[in-house]
Amino acid sequence: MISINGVSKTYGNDKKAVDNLTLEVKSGEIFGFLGPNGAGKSTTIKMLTGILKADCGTISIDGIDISQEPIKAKSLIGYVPDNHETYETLTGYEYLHFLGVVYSVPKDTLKQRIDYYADMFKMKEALSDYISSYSHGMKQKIMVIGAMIHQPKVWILDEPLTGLDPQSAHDLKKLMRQHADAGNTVFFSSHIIDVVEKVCDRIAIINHGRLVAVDTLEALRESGEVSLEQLFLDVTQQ
Amino acid sequence: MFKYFWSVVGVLLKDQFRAKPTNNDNKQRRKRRAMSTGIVYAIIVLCFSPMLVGIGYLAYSFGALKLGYYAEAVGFLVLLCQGVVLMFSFQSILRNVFMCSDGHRLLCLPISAATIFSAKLFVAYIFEVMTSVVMVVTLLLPFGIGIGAGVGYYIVLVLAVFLLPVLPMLIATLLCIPLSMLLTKLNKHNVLRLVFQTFFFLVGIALYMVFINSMYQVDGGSESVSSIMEILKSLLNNISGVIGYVYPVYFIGVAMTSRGVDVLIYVLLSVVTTAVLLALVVLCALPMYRRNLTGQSEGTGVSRRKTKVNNLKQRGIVAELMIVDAKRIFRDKQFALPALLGVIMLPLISVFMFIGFNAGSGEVGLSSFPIYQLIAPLALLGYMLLVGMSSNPVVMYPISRENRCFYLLKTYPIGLSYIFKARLLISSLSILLGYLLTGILLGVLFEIHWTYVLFMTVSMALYAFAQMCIVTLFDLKHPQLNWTNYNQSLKNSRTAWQSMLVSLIVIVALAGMGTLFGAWYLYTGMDYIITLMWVVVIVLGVAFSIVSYKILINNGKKVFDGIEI
Repeated sequence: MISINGVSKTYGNDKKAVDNLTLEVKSGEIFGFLGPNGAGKSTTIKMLTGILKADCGTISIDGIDISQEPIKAKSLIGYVPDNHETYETLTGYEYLHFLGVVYSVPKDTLKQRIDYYADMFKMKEALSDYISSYSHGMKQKIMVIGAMIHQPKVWILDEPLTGLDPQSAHDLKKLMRQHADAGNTVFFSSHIIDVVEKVCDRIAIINHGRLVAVDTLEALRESGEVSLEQLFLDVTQQ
Repeated sequence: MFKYFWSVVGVLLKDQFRAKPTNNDNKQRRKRRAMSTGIVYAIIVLCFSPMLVGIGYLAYSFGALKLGYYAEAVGFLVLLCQGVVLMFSFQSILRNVFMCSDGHRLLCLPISAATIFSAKLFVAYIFEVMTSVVMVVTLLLPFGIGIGAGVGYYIVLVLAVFLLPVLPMLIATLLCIPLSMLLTKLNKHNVLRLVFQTFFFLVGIALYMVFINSMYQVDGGSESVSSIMEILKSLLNNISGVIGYVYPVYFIGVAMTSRGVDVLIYVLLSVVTTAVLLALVVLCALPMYRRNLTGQSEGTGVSRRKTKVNNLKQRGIVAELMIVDAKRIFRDKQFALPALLGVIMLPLISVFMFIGFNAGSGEVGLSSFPIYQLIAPLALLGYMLLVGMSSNPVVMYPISRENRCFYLLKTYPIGLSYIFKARLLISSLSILLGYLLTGILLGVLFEIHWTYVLFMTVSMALYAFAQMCIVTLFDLKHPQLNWTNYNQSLKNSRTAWQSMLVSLIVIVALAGMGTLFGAWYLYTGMDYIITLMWVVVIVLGVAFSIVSYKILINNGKKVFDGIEI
């Protein structure tokens, strides 16, 4: 579903943020993407979502090259950024309606989905308020709802659980599982090792822009009951 | 306390000037940008220098008349300069001191609110000193040369540069206290807040004009030198009655025109009165500022809107982009007022121009001269193009106003052409409204024939559209993203100056055309030549628009894709 081939990205003249990254993410899996701060996770995610252009290599979403057919590729993606910078002077409804138009969601379907997700994340009352009045967690929720409103095949979630209350975090993890089980893909980046350990089918670890490990958790552990945290520390300190 | 003060000043200045616009900004790009920005600024200064030289010459001539009342005359010129500083500093103090929402960053630090307040005022003061330098060099310096002032005048002039902004800033601070209280209360009501801000701004401008006009009554019909001298003497007499009460200004005026020990005494008096006023104002403003600072971190308790799901409308992408953009602009506290002023400023300026020039009045109205109908609309067109574009942030910053949300544009599955169309349409609507009102007002006030008003308005719209395409490309090439304060980061950005340069080039071209057709008209006296001139202007306008649009579309995508944040 997501295919990253030989992708590199350099900032300025010398800072290589991503170095010859190759990765395949299959349909029906929740794929965890880990790395220390400054490892290149956000840069990779930005390239996946079309915010940045790779210096070399190709990125495909469901077989569609994002550099050749960006609009088609982006219509398949639901993206939750880690910074939740969004249009704060809009109300929650207006923002979701805007996304509905951009992603060509029919009006009746949009209404149903807004109702459904707003109910699930307990945001119904808040949707008529300006996003600027939301708490950190509520802004995160509106970004999550916005990423799901068009039911894309691929979810790209960058620290989506940050700021969510336990119930909402539980609901989101449940949704991620349901989404993957329906044959779709969830590309999930997080620093919360416990969650990644429990939720993800496969994990990749990136360090200094390079892929240092990618496999199922069991295979990565090889032998012994090593926690993902220990594994992460071992791999990134090598 | 001073250690913290200078630290806060340093941080505030760095925050404004060091923002890295995009991720792919490197040393080389910054160097190239700095050089090209310097060239743009130099060209702009060169183009405006004749006007400044002209004003300076008038000030010199005024002084050279040696009419006496020198202290009062200097005081009046200082007041004029301070009026300009008041206009700029009022906005600056309101936005950067009282309404700036950085309380959450500063309140947790072991720094007193008084230190933060004085540091912010000081940063605003630094920028007003720059305005003061321009005003002093343009007005006070030539006046001193004209009256044959002594060395003391020029020494005190240097001090005056630093003292001059203080009084207007204090007045601005006092005005900001109740205003910021009211605006905070109106936080929940965007429309009311915007209406109130606009009303307050217009009242301020009107009061300033009334104050200046009350100083003199000039009869446009008198032309003899002796009658002009009498008028100026009576003007100075009127001024002397008022200036004496504005102590800091009066003392500067006396200091600059005195000799010997009197210079020192009056300088000291000026400094002391300014310091006393400063202390009083800061004491009054500080409690309000503290309240504002802590209030920023409290919840807004925004009023609930009754938007129902049933009200969701199915719209086209361009329409939806335009509506969302408009909502974001007019609901944003930083953008709403400048955006609205961008529409109403043009008609307002045309009224002020009429009052200032008093065109068409007097015994022999200018409008009765046939050549007037050729020159006036063309001159007004040029002036409106220059002022109209640069005063409208909706037009000037189609990309930069996205700020940190720019990345969202890149994630949407919509073609860039939709985004450009939406931006251009909203800019066009914003500026066309202003131009339509302006065209009608100019026609009525300056007695321009209705057909030429029509030609002028259509031409304004065409050239403005073409400029908008170019400005959008400029903004795309050098977007200002990651800014926190519109007033500090965007208002005087490179895009604004580049746009002014384009306007100047257009004006020069129009002036050239006006000269050619004007000469032809004077030679033949045939009215159809004026119509022919406008046809040429409009045809060129259409061509300019098409070419600019194509340049934007052809180059825009590559530049847009190259922006990395």
